[in-house]
Amino acid sequence: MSKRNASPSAFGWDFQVNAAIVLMLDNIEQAKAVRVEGETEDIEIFMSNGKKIYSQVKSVVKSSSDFSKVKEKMQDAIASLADAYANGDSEQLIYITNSPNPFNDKTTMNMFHGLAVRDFDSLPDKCKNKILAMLKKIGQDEIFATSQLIIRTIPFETDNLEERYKEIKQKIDDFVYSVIPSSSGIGKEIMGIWQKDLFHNATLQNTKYVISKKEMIWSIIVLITDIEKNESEFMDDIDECDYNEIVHMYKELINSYTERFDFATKVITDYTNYTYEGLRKDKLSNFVLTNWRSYISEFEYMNDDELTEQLIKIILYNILKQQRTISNIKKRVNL
Amino acid sequence: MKIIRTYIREGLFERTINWDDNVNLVFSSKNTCGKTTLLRALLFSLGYPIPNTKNIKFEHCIMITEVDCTRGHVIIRREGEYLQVNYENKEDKYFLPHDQLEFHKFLWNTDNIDILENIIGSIYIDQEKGWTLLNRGKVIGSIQYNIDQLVRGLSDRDCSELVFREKHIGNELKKYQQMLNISKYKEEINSIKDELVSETYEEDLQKELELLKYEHFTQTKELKRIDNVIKNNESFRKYVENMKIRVRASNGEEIPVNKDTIIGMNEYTDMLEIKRRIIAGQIARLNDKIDKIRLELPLPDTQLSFVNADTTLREFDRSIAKFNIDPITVSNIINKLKSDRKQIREQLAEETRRNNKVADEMFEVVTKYAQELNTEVEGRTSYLFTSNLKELSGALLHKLVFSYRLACIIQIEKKLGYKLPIIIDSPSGKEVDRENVNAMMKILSRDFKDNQIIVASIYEYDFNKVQYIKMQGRLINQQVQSFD
Repeated sequence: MSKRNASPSAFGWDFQVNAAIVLMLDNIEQAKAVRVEGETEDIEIFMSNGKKIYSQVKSVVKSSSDFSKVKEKMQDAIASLADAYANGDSEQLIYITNSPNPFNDKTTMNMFHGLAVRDFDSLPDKCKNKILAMLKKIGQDEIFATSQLIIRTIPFETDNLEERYKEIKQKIDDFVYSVIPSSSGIGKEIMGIWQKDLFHNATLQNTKYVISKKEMIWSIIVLITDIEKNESEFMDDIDECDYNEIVHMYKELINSYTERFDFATKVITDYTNYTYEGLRKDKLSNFVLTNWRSYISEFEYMNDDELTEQLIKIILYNILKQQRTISNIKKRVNL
Repeated sequence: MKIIRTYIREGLFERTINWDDNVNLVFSSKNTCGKTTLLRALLFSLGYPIPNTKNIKFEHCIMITEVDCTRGHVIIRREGEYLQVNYENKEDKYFLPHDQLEFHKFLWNTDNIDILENIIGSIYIDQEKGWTLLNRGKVIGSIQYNIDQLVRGLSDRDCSELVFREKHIGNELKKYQQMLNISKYKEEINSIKDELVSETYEEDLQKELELLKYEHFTQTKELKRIDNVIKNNESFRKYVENMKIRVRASNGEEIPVNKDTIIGMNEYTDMLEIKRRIIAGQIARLNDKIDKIRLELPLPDTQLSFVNADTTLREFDRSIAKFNIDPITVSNIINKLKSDRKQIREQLAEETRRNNKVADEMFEVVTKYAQELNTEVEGRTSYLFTSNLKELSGALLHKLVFSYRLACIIQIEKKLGYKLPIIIDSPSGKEVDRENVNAMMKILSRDFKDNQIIVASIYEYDFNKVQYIKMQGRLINQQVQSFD
């Protein structure tokens, strides 16, 4: 075995953190916060209605070929989820694994390929019976609400991180696209930030520390509204090369104006009060075109008139676009 | 040419040896009394690059040798690299080794370089290498002897073009040989240490470090900028809140103006906080990476870094690892050059030996003397140029060497028109019995009676008339009388 191979426990941690990302995205509208290594379960998601999603996570390093222990793992997970159910505040009880064959039964294997979500009722009878037998073994067959049970599989294998995280990244990309269709290419960065935050969360002894949905979502907003990652989509009157050059040269200045609340709130209010007779989609560019001069007093120290005009326009676009992004995302994720 | 006397001064001691016109026997009953040193000193004083013996550092001595030659009475004074030559009221100065050839042209009165370069090899038999040197090789120090070259010189066959090409190829071969060695060494270090010695690996790390540092610098700057914006927003908030403004909503409700009621203010705070966290996280990751790379890089030089062998060796290995030589290509070039050189040598040999009267005559002489010394020689002139010495026993070679020298001397004298001195060190080799040595001396006294002969030995030989130069204790054994 090469020394770069993850030890099973490090691999398990990694899977647990990434499973938490997937679970959060699955439930992003109703979720409030997430805790990795919670008081009761591996992952606990706090819902806005006060209930919780409990999840047991089991990983296999050679998941696509090694099925030797998958049944024991599921037995352990079911027992643990039964304990969580006893807490009385569960909304869902989810068993997450990277094994494509959680029941060690080749005939049911193809239903767990890729990102699979199977609630108890949608399982074939022989899988149901296996679970019921597991519950019976621990004396829970009469008590446990199988209606809350979900089997979730996430492909997660190899030491090549690109390959290992590909489903996670795809899930994030899909989500980001659903929120802001025009954004692209930030999936990997978001994933890195979330993995780091959630891993850190898992290491905290005090289980009261959670990662809020707000924290997670704001990371997306920050990255999406990063001026250097923005296209000059609204900026018909500035040449694309000029735009890129100005943004590169004056990134800090643009950001500082965009982030200054007193300045931004003025622009947002002006825009809200701006009445435009034409098409709705042209309102923003029209506002910038006709109103940029009213902010010129803020830039009196600049010598170059043409540059000043372009800078003001870019800053206005940026503030308004950021505002739009924030409100879109917040609506979408119920923040 | 006759050598009249040799004067040697080292420090406070000096000695003058007066050479007889005929036979001189430098003699001592035991070894290590300076016989060899005296013979070598004599050659040194004649401007030849002769290595020291352990007794005397020649370059620290003043040596004066007087000779009678075609130029008349010549006084040669050598002091280290300087040679001062007086003759017929004239004084010439030579700087060695640069002017060596010029001086020898003067001394031996010939411009024939092929002969000049082989004179010492012909007239002098060194005790160490001389008796195994048959027709080509090292005479003493860096002085070479080559029968082909000598024969070409004696028969006026100019092959300088070919000789130059041969030398040129020889030089190239040496370089390619070194290159091959290096490429082999390179393969060795590459296979052993791989990336460890490759400078590119360390260079890459260094570059990566620079990049990371730059990124660290920009991110730290960005963090400061955001902190500044956060501070400004915060003071704006306090400023507004401190005004204690209250506004009335359309439903008549009174609302205090603060961060919770100002639309968008909390959003901005959240956004900047996250931004700050993302950047702080990036900086932390950069710090990790920078630390890791720093651990892998060698320690920067401190004042303790006086050059140590390990560093030099590593430096060498790294330089070698950077070399881009393909051993197969180099091997091919070497083989090609070797075959070229072989061709040129064959051509040279052909040019030298074809229908050469001088060679024939030399071979005759060799055969004659060898027979007299009870040695059979193959019956063809080409044997003169043989390179197969392995089958010759020690005693046989000894006698052949002697015959060769005499043959050379005879031919050179014929060409130059005067008699040469013959200088022989310790003719009684381990494997040659007294009888044979006596036979050799007999030839000398019979056929070379007009030559000046200088023999160093622990034995006495039968010569009609011989001057004994007895060596006892130190060679230079008298206090200097006057420092002229």
